[in-house]
Amino acid sequence: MRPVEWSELSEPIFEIENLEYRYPGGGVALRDVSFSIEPGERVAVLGANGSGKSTLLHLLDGLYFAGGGSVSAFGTRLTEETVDMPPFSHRFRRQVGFLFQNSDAQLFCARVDEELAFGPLQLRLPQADVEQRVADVLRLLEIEHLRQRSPQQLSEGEKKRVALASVLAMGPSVLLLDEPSSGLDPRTQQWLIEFLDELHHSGVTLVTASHDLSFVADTADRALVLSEDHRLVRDAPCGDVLGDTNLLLSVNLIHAHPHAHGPVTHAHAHRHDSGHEHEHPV
Amino acid sequence: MLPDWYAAASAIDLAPRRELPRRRGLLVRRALATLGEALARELGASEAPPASWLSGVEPRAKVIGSVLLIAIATALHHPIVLAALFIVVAAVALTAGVGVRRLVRVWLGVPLFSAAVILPAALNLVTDGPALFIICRLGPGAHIGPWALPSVITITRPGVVVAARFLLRALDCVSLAFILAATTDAPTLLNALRRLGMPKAFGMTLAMMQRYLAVLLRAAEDIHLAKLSRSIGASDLRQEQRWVAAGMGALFRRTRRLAEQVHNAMLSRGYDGDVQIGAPRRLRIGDGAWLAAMAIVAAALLAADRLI
Repeated sequence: MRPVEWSELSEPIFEIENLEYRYPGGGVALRDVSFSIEPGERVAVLGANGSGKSTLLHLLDGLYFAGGGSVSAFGTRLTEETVDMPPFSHRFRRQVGFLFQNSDAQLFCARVDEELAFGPLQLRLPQADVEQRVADVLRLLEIEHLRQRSPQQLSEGEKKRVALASVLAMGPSVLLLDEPSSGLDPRTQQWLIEFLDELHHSGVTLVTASHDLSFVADTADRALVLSEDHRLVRDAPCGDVLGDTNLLLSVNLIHAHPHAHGPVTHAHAHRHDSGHEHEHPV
Repeated sequence: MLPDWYAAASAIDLAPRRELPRRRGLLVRRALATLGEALARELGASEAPPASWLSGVEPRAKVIGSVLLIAIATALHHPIVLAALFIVVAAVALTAGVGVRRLVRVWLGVPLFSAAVILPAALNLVTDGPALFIICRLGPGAHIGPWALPSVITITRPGVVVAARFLLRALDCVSLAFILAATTDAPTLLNALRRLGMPKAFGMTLAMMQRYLAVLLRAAEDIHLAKLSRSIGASDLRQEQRWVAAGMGALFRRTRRLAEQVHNAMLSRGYDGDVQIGAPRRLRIGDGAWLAAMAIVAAALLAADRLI
């Protein structure tokens, strides 16, 4: 399934300059963040809890607005006025999809098929097109058997599939994913990795916020690293970032703690998905 | 590494304690869980209703038919005609696959509430007329304050007719509404009401309420269980009240956060304040036949009511 109008995207999709954002209560969420995202990229936003990853995605999706600096999408600065003004609002919402971390918040309709139809209906598509899209995404995500179910009856994995389907039904060329692997069992996680890979090969730009380094290693080519004081401290290829132990340790993405291998106990920085399998000094 | 008090027996462990009656905590937990399950089953479940001739009727036609008969039921006077309507409704319910147990539960509930309301109307205090049963003798000159009372309190024949009419009307109306709900899943029913002119915002609010009630009940149960897991013995009433207030506050905060997330999720999928709903399917011959049948039944009932 190809996203609509992806071939028209020759400019950066997102341009962020000196972005500052504070929460309504006054706490700093992001400080002096600058980067851009080109069409077709797979970008990971890495950072510990509270570093501002989710907030950054909300800013990219025009749900929050910059307190300082600017966030631009498709050449238009995102403000409360521009995001609500047709025809930009229509194009923006169609082109940019957001998969929320909390599936319960994302699935607000009473039935799965209604959920999938919500987005296309808001785009004012003809009824026949809406029904076609619903049928197509049900088949794409292999959830046809869930069509008439209520979201609260679904498992976490099923909810994630339905949530993804509800976003894909709008045909976005950009997908923002907030901690997409959280709460998923290994098989579902693997399915998600493979599915996102297929989306990418279809031309969809992926921006994933996560602190799950193994997930990011499989789903991103470039990493933006946010520190615990809410600054962008590194923007580099994913492999370089994931290999920089000192960086990962400094931003609380990996840790060091004592662990034992037979008679030997030592401590060093590692990830639990791979770090306990290693050579150690005799 | 651990402090001295950790995992060590202390005087606190050995002090006599008034044990929380096990039933109190369990009662609350079971009540929350049962309420959650019942609501999830009745409100949140969107499994297809039992397949029958009635579930195939277009929802708008069903709503119009039900509302028509409910309006007719409130206009009928003669208990025999109201009873006849009840028999028709019961026959429709049973042939439409609505379970007997569910029907009986609903029917038993109606007199319980309605009788409490209408019972005074059967007495000669409200409805005068020939006495059927004597309740009590008050003697001459009985009064309550400035109000004089009859010397004998009786159930009168006209009073019984008034009470029977009220009970039968309640039974008919509740049965009609119940059959509509039992043969149409909630999302479809809400969509039908929206297409018949119910304000979109109202429909959306009801749909969201249905969607999230079970979620919030589960959250309330989780909060209660978390508290139970760290409770030993009974707390005094003031502490319990403070805890309940804090729990309500925590649940309200979660609700607000969830509401904001849901709103953001809707915005990100193009919601601009005006909810769009899909086009309804066209009415078919069967739906027209259903509406015609409802109109004929309504006319027949009205005619019978006038003639008897």
